[in-house]
Amino acid sequence: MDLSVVDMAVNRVGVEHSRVALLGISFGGYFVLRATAVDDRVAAVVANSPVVDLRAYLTSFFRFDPEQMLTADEDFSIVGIDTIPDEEMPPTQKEMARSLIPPLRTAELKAMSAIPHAAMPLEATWGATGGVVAGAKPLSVLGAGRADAEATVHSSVARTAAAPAHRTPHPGLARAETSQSPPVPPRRPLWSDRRPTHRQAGHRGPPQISRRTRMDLLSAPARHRDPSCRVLLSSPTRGWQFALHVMPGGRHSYATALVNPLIAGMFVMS
Amino acid sequence: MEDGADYGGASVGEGLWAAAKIRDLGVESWPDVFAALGDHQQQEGEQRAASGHTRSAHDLYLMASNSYRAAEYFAPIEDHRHIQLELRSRDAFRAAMQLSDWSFEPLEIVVDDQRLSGYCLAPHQPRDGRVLLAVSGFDGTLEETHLQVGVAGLQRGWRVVLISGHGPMDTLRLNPQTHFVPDTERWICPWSTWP
Repeated sequence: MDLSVVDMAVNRVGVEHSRVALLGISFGGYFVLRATAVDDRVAAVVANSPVVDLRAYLTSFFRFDPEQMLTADEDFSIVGIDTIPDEEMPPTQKEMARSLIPPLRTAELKAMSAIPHAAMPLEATWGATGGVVAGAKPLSVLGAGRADAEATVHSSVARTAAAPAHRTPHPGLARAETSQSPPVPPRRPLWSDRRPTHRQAGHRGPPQISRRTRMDLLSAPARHRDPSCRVLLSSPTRGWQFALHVMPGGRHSYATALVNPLIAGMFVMS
Repeated sequence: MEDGADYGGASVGEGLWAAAKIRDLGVESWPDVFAALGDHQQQEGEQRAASGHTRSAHDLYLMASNSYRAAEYFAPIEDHRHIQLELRSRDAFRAAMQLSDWSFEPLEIVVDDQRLSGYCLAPHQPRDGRVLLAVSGFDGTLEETHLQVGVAGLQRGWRVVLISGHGPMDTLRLNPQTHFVPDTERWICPWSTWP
């Protein structure tokens, strides 16, 4: 990999290496948290409305989790979408299906079950930590996270006093590492609560998405801004723990990350 | 549009005009309406630039970039216009940055044989040595991220490096087979690497 361009750019603009901040929006919140967990040169991180449950996020496009809601017999492929009448699956929903089915386009929708719930292989737990880790040393607190605060300010992240990598990892992490199939973190009731009802023989597909439902989809990720929404992350390489407290309010809307069909060909979980 | 209007990517009036137009013509008209708005702004910008009104040209190019982005956002992935709108948004953005108050440099690194794009921006008198590396999410673009957080950072004296990685459209433009990877530190850490 060619690092010279960035090295040159960063040096030329007179950056202090101790003053590098990472900011990620939406799925980018996941990107930067993960990078921060393994790179202690990052002095500050802002996870703006981060995605913390990858599969819940993706299935939210579809309103239900195909793994739970579709039997193998009911599953459909990218080719089968074209046989479903528009009355049963609106064109916009078909477009989403085309986008969400993996890029080889031979797999069917249930292939999404390969996508993990946790956004990271690091241990992620909803609502179980009670907030910032006790005694945590702030990594950086960029603003108060008020709705009327500056545009870059939505979240605060604290990191424990830098523990060397050889220290005992977080118990949850150790549990995950010793198991072939890590326990799925408890999650709130999501989009899988609704059973598809408009399904006809020979035209297998998800329920019709009404305008109202689409609005529900648009507002659903507001849970990420719920003040009770907290995530604990442990870094296996650094022995760090993160307590992420997603602040309420903020100007970023998840609507910008939704309904775009540009997912096709891009998503392969290895 | 909210962030765009605050930081020069749109005007409220034109946004409302587009909304009314889309309401009249149906939601399928979204890409066409915003593309037409982008064309208008681009042409206006070129006229201003030809007349030597660089500030006005900058403003119009930036809005054109954002309008093309809005058009692309709901253009179907297999629509041939999609990549065209993407590239128009990028070109208009670069034209705007050449006329902007910031120092501007396009970046590119290669990770796992994929070309990753970025932009390095800085105020002419940075406040101190701080730098913000900003990245969008699932389907954002570098240009959009500039309007969401980049301008805000620059206005406050931050250097801003907008970055992209495996998967999103900035990379799809240059690497048709790109896809997201779970271990995102693979490409973030190279961006934040320094000697």
